[in-house]
Amino acid sequence: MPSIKLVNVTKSYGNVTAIKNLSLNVDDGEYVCVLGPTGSGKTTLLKLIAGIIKPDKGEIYIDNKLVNNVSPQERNVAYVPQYYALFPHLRVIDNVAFGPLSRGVRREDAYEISMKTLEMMRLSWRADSFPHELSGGMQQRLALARGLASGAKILLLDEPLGALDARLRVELRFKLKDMAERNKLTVIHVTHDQEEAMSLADKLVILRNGEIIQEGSPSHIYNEPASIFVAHFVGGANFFEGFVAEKDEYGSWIQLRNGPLLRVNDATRPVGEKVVVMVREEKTEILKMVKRVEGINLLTGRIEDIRFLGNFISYSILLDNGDKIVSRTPTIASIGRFKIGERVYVRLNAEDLKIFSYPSHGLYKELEVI
Amino acid sequence: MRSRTTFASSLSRIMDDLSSKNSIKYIVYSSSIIFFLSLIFLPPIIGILENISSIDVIFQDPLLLSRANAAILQSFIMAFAVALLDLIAALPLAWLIARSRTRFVHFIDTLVDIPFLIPTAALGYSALLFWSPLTQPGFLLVFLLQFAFSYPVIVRVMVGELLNYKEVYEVAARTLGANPFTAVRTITLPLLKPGVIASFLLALARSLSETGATVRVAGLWENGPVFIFRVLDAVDIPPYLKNGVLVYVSSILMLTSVILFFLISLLAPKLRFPVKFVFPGIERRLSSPSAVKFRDILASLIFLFIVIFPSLFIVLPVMNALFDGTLNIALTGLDPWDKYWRTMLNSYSISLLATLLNIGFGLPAAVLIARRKLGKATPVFKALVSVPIIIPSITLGYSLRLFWGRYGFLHEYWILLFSHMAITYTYFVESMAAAIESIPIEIEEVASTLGAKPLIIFRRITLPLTKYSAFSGAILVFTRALGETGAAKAVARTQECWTLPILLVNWILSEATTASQKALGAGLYIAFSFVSLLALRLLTRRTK
Amino acid sequence: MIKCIAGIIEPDEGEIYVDDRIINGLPIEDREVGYVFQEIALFPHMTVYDNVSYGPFVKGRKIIEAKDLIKEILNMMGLQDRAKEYPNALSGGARQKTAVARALISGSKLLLLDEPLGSLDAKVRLVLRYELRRLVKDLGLTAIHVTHDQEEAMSIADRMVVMRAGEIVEVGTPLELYMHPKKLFTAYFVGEANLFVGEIVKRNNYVKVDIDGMTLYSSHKVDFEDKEAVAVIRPEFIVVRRGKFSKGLWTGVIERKTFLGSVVRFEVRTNNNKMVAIKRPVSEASKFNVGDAVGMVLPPKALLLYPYPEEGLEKAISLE
Repeated sequence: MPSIKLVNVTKSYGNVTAIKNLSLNVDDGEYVCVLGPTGSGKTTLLKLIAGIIKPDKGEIYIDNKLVNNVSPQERNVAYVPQYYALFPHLRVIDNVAFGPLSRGVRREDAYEISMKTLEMMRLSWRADSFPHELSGGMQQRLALARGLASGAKILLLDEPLGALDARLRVELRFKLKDMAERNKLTVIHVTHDQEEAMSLADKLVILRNGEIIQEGSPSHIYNEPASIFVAHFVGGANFFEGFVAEKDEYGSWIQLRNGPLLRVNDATRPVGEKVVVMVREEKTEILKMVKRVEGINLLTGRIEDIRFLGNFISYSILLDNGDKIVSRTPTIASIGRFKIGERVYVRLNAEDLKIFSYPSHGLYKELEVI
Repeated sequence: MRSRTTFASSLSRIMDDLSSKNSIKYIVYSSSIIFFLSLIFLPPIIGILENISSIDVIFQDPLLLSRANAAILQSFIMAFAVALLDLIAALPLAWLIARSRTRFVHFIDTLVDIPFLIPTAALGYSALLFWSPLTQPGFLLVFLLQFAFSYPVIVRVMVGELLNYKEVYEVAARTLGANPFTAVRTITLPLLKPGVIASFLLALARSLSETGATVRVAGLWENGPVFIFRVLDAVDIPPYLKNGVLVYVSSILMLTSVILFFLISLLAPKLRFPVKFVFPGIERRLSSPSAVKFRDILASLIFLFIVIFPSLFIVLPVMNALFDGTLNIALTGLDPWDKYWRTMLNSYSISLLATLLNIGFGLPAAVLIARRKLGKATPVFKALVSVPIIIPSITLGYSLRLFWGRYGFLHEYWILLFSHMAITYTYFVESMAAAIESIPIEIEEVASTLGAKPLIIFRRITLPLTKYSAFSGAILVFTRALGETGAAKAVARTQECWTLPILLVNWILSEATTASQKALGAGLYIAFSFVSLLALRLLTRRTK
Repeated sequence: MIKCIAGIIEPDEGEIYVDDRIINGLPIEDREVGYVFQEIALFPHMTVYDNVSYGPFVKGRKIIEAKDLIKEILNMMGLQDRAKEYPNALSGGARQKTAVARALISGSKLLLLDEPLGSLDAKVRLVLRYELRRLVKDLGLTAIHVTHDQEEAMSIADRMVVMRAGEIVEVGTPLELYMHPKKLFTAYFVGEANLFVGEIVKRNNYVKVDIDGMTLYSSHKVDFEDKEAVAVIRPEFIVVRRGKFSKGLWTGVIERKTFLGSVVRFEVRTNNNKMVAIKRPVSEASKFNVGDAVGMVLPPKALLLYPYPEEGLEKAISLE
């Protein structure tokens, strides 16, 4: 059964360490998304598993067999690079048949398998075309068909949707997942698009500078981010600087810049520690200032910008203490209710607030993904 | 039939399996390196070094020494003058070909290769006939000749560069307010610098190396190759002195060329184009449609009158020779044509063999370079491979003659073959390496994950994708081998082993052959190389 | 289209006006528009500073004179510390900012942005799109921004133009195009949409549509006579219910549940074998799981109706 295991794998190019002491388990039939910014080592990771490059240190297992010294052609893993690397001089059908033929399958059988795979990918009608004659979406399907026809049960996808238009990308996401499930494949899919990763992954792996900084189900990572970076990179989040002003056995009070206090359900930090408070953009509630509202975790501010995102509207609010908060609400719930310049309350729930230690190099630097 | 295909397929299966064995890969690659070192790279070096002590004698003859020194100096003066002016003259035409698509431009485009395809020995004769009413053999005529045959090299390289160039940079400059001329000067040219340098060096090398044509139009003027050519034939210089002066000139020319080339290719990229100033008024006028039209017309005129007409002028005397009976005598093979046909056969067999051997041993070397399989040593290997075309071929030939001369049992034919291989090896390996490099490595990586063994990848992916380059590389090797005069002249001692270019230069220089014979000799030579090239092209098209 | 405006290509027919002045035939360099390329196209042999100062430089202005302006723009884009670096040493975001700075320096009031964020990471794209809009607004520029990312377009545009195969499909504010698209393609392309083919049965206050035996109502007037129609509703407008289902309510079984961060997306197979995508806030998500039988409310206000396209539905909404 196709499972993948990496144990303490390290790979460097010159003085650049692309993968640092990385360990990862992928179960049979699992769809794993590796999410990370450009240069985090995503492609290197796939190439290590495919056997195209060899690790400096550590072991790689496929089906519980050590494959460090197994050549790529014997690993039976289908690697689909970012721009597909279709064979430009071969027809669609010959592209697909390349794998079986290379593995010594009889010619007639190889073409039968290939035609079946093309039918499954709805490409059989273009069997005699050349890759450059296909549209972007069809090229992507051809790349997948080519990998599948080689008999591989492990699919390594490097930004498989990256070369496509945004809308098409969303449409094809689910088709990709369907295909993987139907063929009982084990998939590792790398991407820098967090929404894509979350919507596809059984397991989400966050990669940064060659290290896994968190892994788990998408909802776990979204709700329990292990660090400021993860919270920021996966989904929209607000961050405030502050320090622990008081604490009791149920939680603590965090004092933000210029005074306001926030109640959080976290009593692990000592009084006086400098911290960062995080709240998801959609876990914020904006209230009109028509009547006086009282309570805890209530901030005041003025709406600076309103951005329409389709199913959401995002409000950018300058709080009276000088911090900024972005609030995201479903379009139907808030459409037309607020105006730019309007003063509002922002209410937060203690259970939605997370605190993190203040990063040694500053919050701004930690949030810098650009 | 059936059994044959199964035999072939099982053989290829065995080969494929073998190719994934590391030991086999090792053997293939190392044998290609050994081939390069033992047959191409080391022999000329050893040949010269072994005889370096014989230089002493030249100081006994100050007159000869100063003549040698002057010739060496003239070599470089001429090469720089030709390469520089060619670059200036060829750039606008390259531009025209790369950027516009009119029928006239298409016509020019097909004409460009012609001087390149005509063997230089014949080209020299043609140019001599064309220019003779206006100027006598000497510096100017050599310049005009070399200008003509270096020109296509620069045009070809620059058209290729321009077609690869991302025009968006130029467009970006123009949206920022730069007029076309300014945009090209400040953006496009600096970005095309590698191509400019490469074509400059190619033109330089060609000029430094050319012997067959130059020797005919040189008159009293002399450069290195012409000097060597003349000394080889001289009857008034004693052999010991001959040897000394030839080693002297060869070693200095070789060393200086190599140093010069590496200096230019290392330093020139650091050279900044002058982008510190702009002259909006002037440059705007230079960009105007009428200025552009003027430039295009001027470039086309230079091309037609200095490059194409002199190259094709030979057609007239050849036509004459076809009807005055010379052709009949030539076809019957009466003296001196018996020698002519024999040397032609010799030339073709040597060129063909050299091509095949270079393909066989050059392919793995090209893969080594393109895929950086030697790690940090790759650039070194690449530099070594480029050396044979940098040094003047006649000096290469002479040092090979010194080296292989020791092995008395080797027939002269083999020494000729080796020298032809040496001067053409680089062309094939470099064009092949560039072609392989242009295939994204992912394509080969994917093929390997799909289960393809290295030889399958090479056979079914790499080779088909580089087929065009492989064939054009092979054609280049073949034509260069067929047209080589200098190296052949230095190696061939007896008339038995003359190649066609040597014979032709001899005829052209000699008083004994008639004008009709000279013209027909050159004409048939050109005709045969055109036909063989055409045949090769057709052959390659059929296999597509 | 924006290449025509910039003069990079000339139109075969028709006129282009900028500031009521016809600009056909005017060479690129005289059009005075700021252009940001998809490829970014920074001059690789020049530093950030030289790239940004290229505009004034080629117009023959002394760099010294333009020095303050260059400095101001570099500061504005947060590039002051990177002025001496070459493009290949910059991150994608910094490169994009340099390209914008370079385009802005001419002082042109028209900024043409050709997929300016296309080559960046998703997260970087998200941050920079708002910075781009703020810049345009602060400097009082007119900007045409071309993108294939509909969320990017909606979030920063005053007006949005939906194009397909060289033709304008529809123009409107993002909100109009999202809530009340006039064309089926717009409805499908701008935001996600469920599409059902059906037959219009009645046209009273509410239009009644029959979808393979199930009924839907729309409160929008229809201005076409065809009986065959396509009903469109966005996944986030559908409400999910449990418990007893009243007659006529759409019912089905949840086949897939996908966590998308702030929302959860369900795919429900209805009793008449249609697939319905639904997006609900995470707070509701724990109540519904794969395999659950649920009822769906498709509010008549959110249901849009279009005539069945002549070329067939698949072709009419094809993105390629």
